[in-house]
Amino acid sequence: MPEADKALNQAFEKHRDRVLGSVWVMGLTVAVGLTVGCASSGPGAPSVPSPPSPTSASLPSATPSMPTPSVPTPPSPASTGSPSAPSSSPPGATPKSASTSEAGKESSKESGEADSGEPGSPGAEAQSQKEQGDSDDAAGERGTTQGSQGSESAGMSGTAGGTQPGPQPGGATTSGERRAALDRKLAESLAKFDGELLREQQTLARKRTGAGSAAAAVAGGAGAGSSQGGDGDFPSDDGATGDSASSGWGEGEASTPSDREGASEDSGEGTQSGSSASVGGRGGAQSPPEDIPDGTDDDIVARQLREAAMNEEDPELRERLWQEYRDYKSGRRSDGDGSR
Amino acid sequence: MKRPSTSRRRLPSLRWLGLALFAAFATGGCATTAVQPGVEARQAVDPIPETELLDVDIQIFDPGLPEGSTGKLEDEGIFEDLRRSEARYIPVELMETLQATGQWGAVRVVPEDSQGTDLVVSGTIVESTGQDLVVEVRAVDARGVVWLEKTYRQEADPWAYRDGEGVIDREPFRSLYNQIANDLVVARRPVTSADLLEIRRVAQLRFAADIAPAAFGDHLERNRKGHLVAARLPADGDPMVARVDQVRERDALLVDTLTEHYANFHAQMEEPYANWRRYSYEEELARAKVKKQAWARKIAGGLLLLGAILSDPDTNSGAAARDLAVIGGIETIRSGISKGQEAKIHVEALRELAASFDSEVTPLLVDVEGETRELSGSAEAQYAAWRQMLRDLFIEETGLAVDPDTGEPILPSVAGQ
Repeated sequence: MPEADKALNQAFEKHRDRVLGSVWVMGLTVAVGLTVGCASSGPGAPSVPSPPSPTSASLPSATPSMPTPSVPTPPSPASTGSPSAPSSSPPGATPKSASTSEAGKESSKESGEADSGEPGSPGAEAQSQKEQGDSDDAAGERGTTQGSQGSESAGMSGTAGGTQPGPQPGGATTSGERRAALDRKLAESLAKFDGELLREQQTLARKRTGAGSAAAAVAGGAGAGSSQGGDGDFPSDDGATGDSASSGWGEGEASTPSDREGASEDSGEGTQSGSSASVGGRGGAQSPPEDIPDGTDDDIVARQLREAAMNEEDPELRERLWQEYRDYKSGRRSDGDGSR
Repeated sequence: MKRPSTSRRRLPSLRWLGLALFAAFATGGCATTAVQPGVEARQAVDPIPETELLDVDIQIFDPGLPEGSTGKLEDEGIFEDLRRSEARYIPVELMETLQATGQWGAVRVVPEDSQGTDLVVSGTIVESTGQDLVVEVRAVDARGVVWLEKTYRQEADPWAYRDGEGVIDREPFRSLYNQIANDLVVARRPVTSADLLEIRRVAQLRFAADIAPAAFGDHLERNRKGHLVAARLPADGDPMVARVDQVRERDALLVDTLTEHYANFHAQMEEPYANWRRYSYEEELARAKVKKQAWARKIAGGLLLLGAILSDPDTNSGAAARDLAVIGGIETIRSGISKGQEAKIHVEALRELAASFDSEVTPLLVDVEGETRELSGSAEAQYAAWRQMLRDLFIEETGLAVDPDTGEPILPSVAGQ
């Protein structure tokens, strides 16, 4: 009988190892998948909790934030600072003004915390309660489809009293793609507008200074000139926006930092710091095309264009920015023939 | 017994008080400040915290052209193109004054009312010659609180028109601009830091509500006084806020570009305008002097004639005096009339000066009007496109239903009702 018991035990242990092994392999696979998914979401990182060990409890929490809408890999990781990244509740979703900032801060943690059963914040208010409820009920479903933005939709649909059907698992990715596409379209439009204004300013600078350098007037004339009110920093696509957006509106942060910086600081420094901030927020810089010079003689505008282009992840937008850069540089060299 | 007398004594004082109040009320809306030359602009002594620096938009002034034919206006000394040029020149001058004080954030000149600015200054030209400048100025913050509503009048500082290198400032109405700048600083004094913050917040929300009404339309409300207040704030890290901020940056850039247009125009107009004002000043002085002389002579001639009529014609001496008075009176009146005609020559000279100025500046005016209009127009079209994109994004992110009539998303508050 002891032999029979031993054989039984051995068989049991074998079976257990096999089961555990397969579970471990599955867990590992999911973990790798998660890591890849999170990495590809790029700038959306703030709201993505890093997947810990692939335990069954943490899976649902990671899953919601994994396939972010901006994931669609091929053409574009959502261009302008990937607005989809901070998974805050959208305006209008917040039932109380007092809770807005807190809710915003907490919402970035929601996807990670909701499933572990922890409240978003000690003083959780209506919104966070709703969100918790939602995420408890449908975390897996919505999460897998909406990613970090899922928490936004949860908040809004909760507030809207369910007038809209909840996002469908299959259609949500499409919604994310649509949103990413809209964001891209907006960013392109903004970049185009930047280019037009830049050309306008160049023309004006030429007009004003006659044979003088356009760049000097655009950059320096704005800060020190009598007419400019301290501006002239040509904002990059994201640049200071990321700062002002993250700082919130209720804290007296300048909405047009370039202006205010221009009034008090050396404009060159202001621009530099703004750009570097955006670089930090956006991730790795791209190397410039071969025909782009090293930029040692860049003025402030060219430098901004260069930085914006190097930090742009969308290839189309990046090429446009490089084209702006080329136009600007060639415009400066020819210095006088209207580039418009 | 004493009570009635006391009340009777009070009545006149109350009447005076009432009169004083009425006078204050009547003049309060259109208080005129006569500015004397020599007013200095108050510079910011201590650096103002960035959170309290308000951005100022100065609108192109209303040229204050009364209705009437061009000829009639010119008879009154008002030249249309000149006024329209001044309506752009004066705001730039005021902008430079405000900038130089260091009391404000970005100060810019805009063609029309702007949604997202902390403080908006507007004005109307009441009178503008080389000799006098009268402008009505109004400043309103983003909440709708009126900071300033005054009429400023200044007689030109003759020093500005003098020849020689000793003249420091060629702007004859510098004191008027300085006075406006000082009054704005005084108006800001009672505004608390919290209010300044609120003004900036409301300005941001106004812009946001304009560009993304679906997302931010209900973030502002009016208080009992009718002023805008922030009813609630967007969440930190709200992606829609980031997008709106991006658009707002472009708006600031656009306004800078418009300002640059006006500054260019100001720079180009400066010399011909300075010349015009200088000659206009001389002509105005000469015209006023001649006009005065003409009236004095006409009155003197009239008095002589009256004396002749009243004198006794029966005596020889009386007859002689009468003849002399008649002749003298007629001559004096004739001289008065010729002085009057001389004054008309000055009016003609002023007209010619204005025509000469016009020929020099009108093409520039047409240019700046066209360019700024074109820029604003294309920007407006662009803003419309951005509004649409932001609305689509809002719908996409929230999944809210869309009102079929207005095309606007049904906001939570509406949906909840």
